[in-house]
Formats: sequence, C-alpha cells, structure tokens
Amino acid sequence: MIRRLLGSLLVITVLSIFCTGCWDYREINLMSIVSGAAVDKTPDGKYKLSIEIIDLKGGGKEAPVHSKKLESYGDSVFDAIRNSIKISSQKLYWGHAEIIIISKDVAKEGILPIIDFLSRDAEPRLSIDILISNEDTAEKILDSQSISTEIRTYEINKMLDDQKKLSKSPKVEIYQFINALGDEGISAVLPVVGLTQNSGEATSQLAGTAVFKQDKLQYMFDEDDTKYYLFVMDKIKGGLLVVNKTQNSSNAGNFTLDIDSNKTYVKPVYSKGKLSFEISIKTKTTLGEIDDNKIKFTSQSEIEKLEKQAQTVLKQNVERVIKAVQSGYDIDIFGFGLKVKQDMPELWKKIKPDWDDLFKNVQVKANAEVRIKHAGLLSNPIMMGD
Amino acid sequence: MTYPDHQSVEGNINSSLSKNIELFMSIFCDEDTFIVRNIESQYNKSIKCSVLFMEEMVDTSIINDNILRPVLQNDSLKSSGDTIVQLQNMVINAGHIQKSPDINTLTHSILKGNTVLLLEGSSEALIIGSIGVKGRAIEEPEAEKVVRGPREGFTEQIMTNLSLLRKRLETTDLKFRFMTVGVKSRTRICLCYMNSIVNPKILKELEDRINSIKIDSILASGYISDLMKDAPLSPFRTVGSTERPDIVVGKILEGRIAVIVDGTPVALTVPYLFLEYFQANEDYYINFYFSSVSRMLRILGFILTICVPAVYVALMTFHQEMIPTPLLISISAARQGVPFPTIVETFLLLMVFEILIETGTRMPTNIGQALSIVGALVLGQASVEAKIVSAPIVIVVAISGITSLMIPKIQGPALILRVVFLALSAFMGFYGLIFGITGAMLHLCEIRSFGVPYLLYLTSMEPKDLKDTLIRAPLWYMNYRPKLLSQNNKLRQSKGKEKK
Amino acid sequence: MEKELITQKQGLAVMIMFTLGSTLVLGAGGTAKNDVWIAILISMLLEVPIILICCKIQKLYPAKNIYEIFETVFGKVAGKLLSVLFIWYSFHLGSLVIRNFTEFIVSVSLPQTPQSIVGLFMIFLCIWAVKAGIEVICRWTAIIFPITIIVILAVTFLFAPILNFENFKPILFYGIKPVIASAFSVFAFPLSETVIFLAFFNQLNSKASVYKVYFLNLLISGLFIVLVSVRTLLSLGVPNISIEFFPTYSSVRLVNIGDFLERIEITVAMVFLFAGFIKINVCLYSSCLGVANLFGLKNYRQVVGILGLSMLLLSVIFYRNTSEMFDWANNIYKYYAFPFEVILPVITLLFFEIKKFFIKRKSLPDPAEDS
Repeated sequence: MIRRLLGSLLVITVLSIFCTGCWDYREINLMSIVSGAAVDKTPDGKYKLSIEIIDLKGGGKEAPVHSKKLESYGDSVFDAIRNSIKISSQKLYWGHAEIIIISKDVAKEGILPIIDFLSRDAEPRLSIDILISNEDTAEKILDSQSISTEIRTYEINKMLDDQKKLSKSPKVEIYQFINALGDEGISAVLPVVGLTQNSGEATSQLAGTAVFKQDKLQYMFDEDDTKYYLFVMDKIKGGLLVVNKTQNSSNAGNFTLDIDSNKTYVKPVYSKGKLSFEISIKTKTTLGEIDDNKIKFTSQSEIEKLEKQAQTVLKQNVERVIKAVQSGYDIDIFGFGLKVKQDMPELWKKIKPDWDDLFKNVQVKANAEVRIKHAGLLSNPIMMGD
Repeated sequence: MTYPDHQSVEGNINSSLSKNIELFMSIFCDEDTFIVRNIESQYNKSIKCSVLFMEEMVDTSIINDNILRPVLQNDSLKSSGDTIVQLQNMVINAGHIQKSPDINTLTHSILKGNTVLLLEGSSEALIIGSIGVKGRAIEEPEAEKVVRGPREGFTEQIMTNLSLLRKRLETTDLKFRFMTVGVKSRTRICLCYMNSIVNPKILKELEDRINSIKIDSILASGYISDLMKDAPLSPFRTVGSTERPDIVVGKILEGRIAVIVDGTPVALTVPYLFLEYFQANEDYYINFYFSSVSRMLRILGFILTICVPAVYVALMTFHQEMIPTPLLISISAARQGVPFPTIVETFLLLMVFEILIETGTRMPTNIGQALSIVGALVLGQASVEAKIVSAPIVIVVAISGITSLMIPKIQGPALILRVVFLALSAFMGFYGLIFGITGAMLHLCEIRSFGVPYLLYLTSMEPKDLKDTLIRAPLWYMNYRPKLLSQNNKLRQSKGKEKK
Repeated sequence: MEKELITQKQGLAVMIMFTLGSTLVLGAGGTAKNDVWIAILISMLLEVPIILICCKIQKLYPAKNIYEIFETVFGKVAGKLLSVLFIWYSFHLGSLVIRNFTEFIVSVSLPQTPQSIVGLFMIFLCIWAVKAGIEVICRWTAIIFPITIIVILAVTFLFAPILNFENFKPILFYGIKPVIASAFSVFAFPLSETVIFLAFFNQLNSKASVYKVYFLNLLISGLFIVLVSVRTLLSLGVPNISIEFFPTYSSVRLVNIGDFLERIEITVAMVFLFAGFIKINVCLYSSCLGVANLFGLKNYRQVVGILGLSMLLLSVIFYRNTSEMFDWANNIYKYYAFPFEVILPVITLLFFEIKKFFIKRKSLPDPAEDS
C-alpha cells in the first residue's frame, strides 16, 4: 500500500515536473482570438487572408471590445494563416471563428482547399458559416462599418442566425456544405454578402445565394428569389410574404403576411416514363399589414379571398424561380435528384448519368396552401370616413 | 499487554494494615494529594481500617457520609467472622463497592477516584465508588449545530456520555462493553452496540484492533481512530466521529458500533461509509424533500469544491473553444496584464484561501472581523485592482472555498483532491481531470471500512439500496435496516405487509 | 467479510461498457452508410449463436475460467497452447483499445502531447484497477455506468433540432451486400469481443445467469450502438461520416441549444474514456489471469504491471499513423479476430461434445460432473 502510493506519487511528480507548461498548455491572453476571416487571391496567385481578431487591449470594463484586421499572404490557406506570425507575435486561435468570407474569384476557382483546411484542423468548428462576397474582394466586407457590435464577422454571423425572421438568405454551415458536395442529386449553395450604404457609410448586407457546381461558384441570384428557393427547400422558419394587387384588379389591395410556420413537401412522380415533381407548400401566417379598407376580417369568405390571392403569388413565384434555375443553368440546387434517389432508388440508378439534362426539362408543379391564422389586434381595417 | 509499566507492583496485599499502608505510601510516594485516613470503629476498637483516596478525584461528601460515618458509628460490627464482608454488605452505603486483593487493581481504582478501604487483618480491600471528578455540563456541540432536533452533546465524562445513550435506548439489547487502552493513561473506552443488530464479525474485528493498540496514552478519540482505521494512507476517513448522542444512537440502530472514549466528547462509529460524509443528523428530522435536496446540494458542493479550479484551468488553457464567446472575450480581457500563468495564479490563490481558513480556525472570535476585512478586501479586491491576479480566478477560488466549507468534515480530502486535479488538468486539460476523477473513484471503490466496502449502497446497482444515499427517502419507506451492516434483525419498523 | 463475487447487474454493466468501449469512438459499421442500423441489427442476430456457445461452455464448467477449461478439455499441452492464443487476443485487443483512445485524445484536443504519455496515464490507472481486483472494477463500473447511460441519452435528446430524417433514405440503395459486409465487421468488433469475459465469468455469483448477462448485453449495447450510429447518421449525414475519423465525436460538436448549451463534446469524450477504461481493464485482467494460469502463478497480481506496460508498448509501436489504425480497425480486424472470437469457442465445445460422446460409449462418468 505504502509502496504503491509512493510509487504513484513519484510517477505523478516526475511526470508533472517534466511536462508542466509544455505541450498543449496555452494561455488565452497570449493568443489572438479569431472571429472570422476573408479569403482573397492576389494577382500572382497567392492566397491573401484578412483575419479579423479581437482586440483585447482596451477591452475590459468600460470600453466595448474592438477588432483588428490582420493581413497575411501564403501559397496555401494554411501557409497564409501561419505567416501571420510574421507580423503578429501571437498565435491565432480559430476555436471561436464564426464566419469565413470567400471572394468571388477564389470561389470560381474552387473552395475545396479552404473547406478542407477548416474541417481537417481540430480548432475551427464544424458549424462555421461560409459566405461568398459579391464585391470584388472579400476584404472589403471586413472593412465595412458595423452597426450593432464592434466585431464585423460576429455581426454577419448574427445576421445569418436571424434569417429565420427574414428568410432571404440561406444559412449554410460547413458540414452542410460538405454534405451537399458529397450527396448525389443536389448542388451546394452558399449565402452571399455584399456592401450597401447606411447613413453614408458602407456596411455589409446579405445579398442572396451563390450556386456551386461541385466546389466552383457558378452564379448568384438575389435575395427575393432566395426566399422562394428556401420555400422549395423547406427551410422557411419565418419571414414575410408580400402580396401586391397588380396581378388582378378584382383582388384586394396590397397586404403583407407574416409567416408563422411552413412545411414543404417535394414529391417526385413517375408515370408513363416521365418524371415530374409536385411541390406542396403549407404555410400558416398572420396578417401584418394591409392597405385595403373594404375587407371584413370577421367574414370567413373575405379571409379566404386573401388566402387565395397569397397562394397564387406564392405558387407563381416558386414556379418562376424553379423555371429560372432550370433554364438558366443545369444545376440542381433544389435537390430534386436527391429526392428521386431517396424515394425511388431504382429509378435514380437509371437516370443518374443524364440527370443534368433531365433536370433542365423536368416538369415541376407547385401547390401552395396559405392559411391566415391571426390578424393581429385589429378585427377590421382602419375606417376612412369621408 | 506487553508494554512495560515500571510503576506497577504485582501481587496481593497482605493482612497487616501498617504494611499495606506502607506499601501504598511507597507506590504513591511524592504524591501530595494522596490521602490516608486511619479510622477505628467507636464501638469496636479492634476494627481498624484505613481509607485511601486521591483528594482531587473524589467527592468528599461520599467519603464523609457514606464511608467514614457508617464505619465510625456502626455498633453492630463484630471483630469475629469476616469483617470485610460485613463492611461491604452491611455498613458502607455507597452504590459501587467491590472487593479485591490485587495491588494493581487497588492502585488504579484509587487513581480513578475511588476510595480504597484497608482493614486490619484482612488480605482483601474494598474499592468504594466515590468518583467526584468535575466536568463540563451537557451543552450543544459547537461544531454540529442543529435547528430541529435534540441539542445535547457529549461531554468529556464517559459515564455521562453513556447515560445520554442509554436514556435514548431503554433496552437490554444495548450493550456497553468496556476496554482499557493506553499503558500510562489507562483510558477507558466503551463499545456500544445493539446485540441483536450488530454484525459479530465487525465487532470481533473492532475488538481485535483495539486490543492490538499499544500506546502509552490516549488523549482523544482521534488517537483510537487513527490507530485502528483501514486504509491508513487514505485522506478519507474510515472511522466516523460525532459529538451528538442522537447521531450515535441512529448509527447503532443501523448496526454500527460506537466507540466512546473517556476524556473526549467525540464518539467514534464504525464502519464508516463514504456516504456518511453527506448525511447530516437533521436530514432525518425534517421533511424528506428538503433533506433530499440539501443532501444533493452537499454532494454537488463536494464535486464543485474539488473540480472547479481544475475545470477553470482546463477551460482557460486547453479547451478555450468550450467557453461561450462573450465570456471568453471578457475573461481574456481581464487577464490582460496579469503576470502569472493561470495555473500559478490558481495555486497561489488557493493557498491564500487555505491560509485564511487556517488562521480563522484557531483565532479568538473577536479578531474575525479584521481577518475578513484583510482577506476579502486587501487580498481579493486590491490584488485584482493591482492586476496581480485576474478577477475570474477570485470568483473560482471563492466558489471552491465556500463549497468546501459546506461539509467541514470532508475539507481535508477535498483539499488534496483539489490540488491533484488541478495539477492534472494543468497537464492534460479535461483529460487529465478525467484521469484524476477515475483515480479518485478507483481509490474510493478500493478501500473498505472494517471489511465493508466504502461505497456500499452506491455500487450494488440495486435501486432499493439508494433510498438513504443521494436522496433521503421518507421514514415510512425505510422499513428495513441497511444490509451487510446488520445481518440479522432486518426489520426496522413494521408497517403494512412485512415481506421477507 | 465473505468473498464478494460479481453480481449479475454489475457483470452486465461491465459488459455493456466493454461493448460500447471503443465503439463509441470509432463508430460501428460505417461502410454500410445510411443502412448502418440494419447492419447492426443483422450483426446482433449473427451474434446469437456465438453467445449460446460461450454460455454453454461457461455452464459446462461454472467454476472454471476459459484457460482452465482449455486444459480440461484439450489436455495440458494443447490447452496451454490455446491459452496462449487467447491471452494474445485479449492482450492485443487491450493494446488496440489503448491506441484508439490515445489516438482519439491526441487528434481531437491534445495535438502536441505525446501519445505515449497519455497512454501511460491510462495504463497506470488500469494497472491500479486490475491489481485492486475485479470487484473494485465492478464497483467502479457500477458508478460510471449510470452516468454513461444518462449522458448518452441526454446528449441524444439535445440532438433533436439537428436531426435530419431524410438521411435514412434511400434504404438499401447499394443492395444488401455492403450491409452484410458491414454487419460482419460489427459482429467482429465489438459484439463478439465479449468472448473475453469467459476468462473471469466463473466469478459471477451463484444467483447470476451467464445467459442473461450475455443476452441482455447483446440487446442493450446493440440498441445503444444503433442509437448512437443513427444519431450520428441523421445529424452529420453520410458524406461527412465517410470523411471523418471520429464521426460520433464530430456529430456532438454540432449540438447547439440556444447558443449556451453548445460545445459539449467534452462530456462525450469523458463517457468514451470511461467506457474505454473498462475495456482495457477487462482485457488486461483477462490476459493476466491467463498468464498466471499458464505459469501456475498463485496470484495474477504479480504480472499486472509488466503486462500492462507491455500492452502500452505494443500500442505505441503497432501502427505508424492514424490511417493505418483505421485501416486495421475497419478492414483487417474482422478477419484477424474471427479465429479467436468464433473458432476457439466452437472447437472447444465441439471437442468437449466429441470427448463426451466417446467417454459415454466407454460408460465413464461425465467430465462435467467431476469438475
């Protein structure tokens, strides 16, 4: 007993003496916490990383925490990250990085090396968000003015998180991107970030969706189309549905619905050797705003009229977006192929080689069912007595 | 006992009174409180006796009223026949009286405060109980306060203590068995147990261990517990101790054995299980919901006190990704400009805290305020202001410190575990901490107290064993005594149907 | 106190922890892609006969461990030879598990720390536990087991928001072949590894039933492996699982409940380690008993230290890098382990029956009775 105890104490002490303070022990205040980074390429083909690090110097009790930008060059992404030691004494710490912004040019050449580094290294998280910049360099995004926090990339991350109230930009974490890359019958998309003017200063904004073929950027579409894309993908958690009366004069006026919940089913149908898809969208909404004062919400038929109008708008837009993607490019961002694979594996084995051609011409029928569950606090529109 | 006692004189007294007196004078030479009082009966001059006692140990009124007066004034004493028996049976009216020829016994009974009566012509002497040692009154123990429940605590006198037990258990099943330990001190210790509940193997083991103690003196029950406990190198105690008779009775009724040591208000109970650290006496006097919650809080407190500094160091120096980002930024900002590495900082502050506690323990209460000002303000506030340590570490050490005070008994082991875990987590982060926890648990699984596994009830995987462990089940639910400790007489209370 | 034996529940707990052991780290049956749960269920069926054989052997000689059974059935020389094989199997398995865990720890969080140091800590604790005896290991397991189960279930609940049930589909897209292949690999690792328990299940107490322990273990750990695999599949998705070294761990990295309950992977790592400890302990204990029996030592404790350290040594030198370890675990192990897990018990039982048959013809007493 005594011998064993002494022996173990000896082992522990000797080990501790030899080992303490080395290996993986690292102090946080001796590291630079990376909040996000932007990847560009210089004309001579080198990677240029603009890394946003959290500046703790003035931080603490009174002042808000600011961020600093570190620019570093290298032949590979990893090389560029390591080269940052040349200009800053502290090692970068990637465990809290939330955002990687990749410039259009880099994305067109393929973002595989970046994805690979981020998922291979143990520090960055698997839930890190990747965005594509639609400015000429990604660095500009980091230079823009931030509004709600002092740290640019955290604000963009928060913007992405809050998309569930807006639904105008996809949120793609790195593991989801890897899944979309790896799965058959679906192409990957990433959110796009760009610049806009706010009170005279450039600030960043989310600006739609970037479409990839494998790891190479093909094209982008804007945020309104993104919303209908998200409808097809069943990723709508909230957001608005704005209905204008322009289509038909017998309709009610302009009104805006707040989406409470949505469920979309995509069903591949194979009949008579012809593949088609049926999309049924079921949305529950709240009336948020209306400019027509003739509608009586106490009457069920009036509400149904609004619902029908919204359904038409939704259906038309979804079909429009799908048509545009089909005709413009042969990239199946909706995962129709994957649906076939999941629901009709035998059919998929047959059509897989020429799915790209098939996708262009496949018939898609959308069906929308919009329900207005609430109408806010007002039972009737505001009256206007002449 | 083989330990040599040089003062002991073997043999019996002889029948000559003067020789006997001489003998005792020589045994008690240079002993000023030793009194020899020679008396003769008023009515029968041939009856000569001597009363021997130690002045400071006796109740003089007993000697005056119950020994001297009856002997002097008795008119029926006859010199013929067995005078000593007459004295014993008819004359002396003291409660405790006994005959003995053995010098050693007589000497020790004098030392204890008894009175020895030597009779001319008798080769036996009477030992008359006249112990009058003054002691403390029964008070509530300071260290084990209770809100709802009896307030009595043990005192330094063994008989008082035993009376506190006996009055709670009016049954012949409660056995008090005396033993004597300590060659010089000849301390009386008493084993108390319920004859029908106790596990005879544990009793035998305990007796053997106490019998094998060879030491000159026992000053407190701590000596006994240190000399007889299992796993002597373990920081965990394997012998329980308490100052409260109600706790002792409760433990006796579960089949444990209490050891009460003369001169100490602290009774020992064996076997002692790890869980008893977390059981407080009051658990059984209040609503079982509250006592279950407070018991779980105590366990949580123990886990916190040993783990918090280690977890902090592991988080700050190995697993930064686990800290939520805003917290990481603020801690990191707080650490800017602090010269020491986190681990050194933590060690330093923990040490300061232990010093504060140690200072506080043995300090007159009226200086306490000064200490808390120095401790809290100077060391805490000022050192953070001066950027000697960072603010989070003060919080961490404070959590660890406060939770360690939750169960005062476990402070010692907690301190050791805390430091070991800290060192391991500075070495390998959480993995080091996991290795440390594994080792600590292995140690707890390994040790036994008097043959009973230390983690009994926790490791049997029987849900019904858990009713008095992490929770305290209602009393009406605990119908059976704990297994293993009590092998017979399992039923504690009969209620409803009794099943085997 | 009287000698304590392993109770049925403790034996079951040890066995479940053993089976989950490195399975949680490496994942089981990954080659079946999204049909992994079918593969595991099939392998559970495959496992039934092996369990029946193991239990039958133990029932024939309830008081003997596998090494003594070998000697009784095959005679001294052949028995010792088979014992050596069995010792090698458990010894080698132990070192594989050590390697898995050191590799895991070093890959996911301690990249600079030498593997051997991490391994030294683990094996030091294991030597301590095995020296303390099987009862201590059982008691320790009894504490760890509920924690493990609670953590696994609780983490599974936290997965709810990131589960994507579409990942189940399409079922059996690549046909049944890869599923069967993967089932065979789950059968070899981890389900059939429970053969090792024959080395000390003679210490189960008289109330416990070997059959019950083995079958409950198959059921419970099988379901847990299914649960964890399905959870990983539904959260990470097939493409990620096929590229990750440690998919289970990676999937836990995704859990994020309301931005405060996130990055909980360390709790999972803790559970992995606990299960791994028990697996190493069982392997070490089994091989120590074997060596003690082989050389006629009175007490197996004499060889614990040396065997433990050699186990560590073997684990360090056995593979050159992580990829080699995974190649071995996924592709070679199932063939390598087959003789030990299947052939050894089968021939033992066969030989016993043949012997019994011949001895009966000579009308001699049944060997099972005088053992």
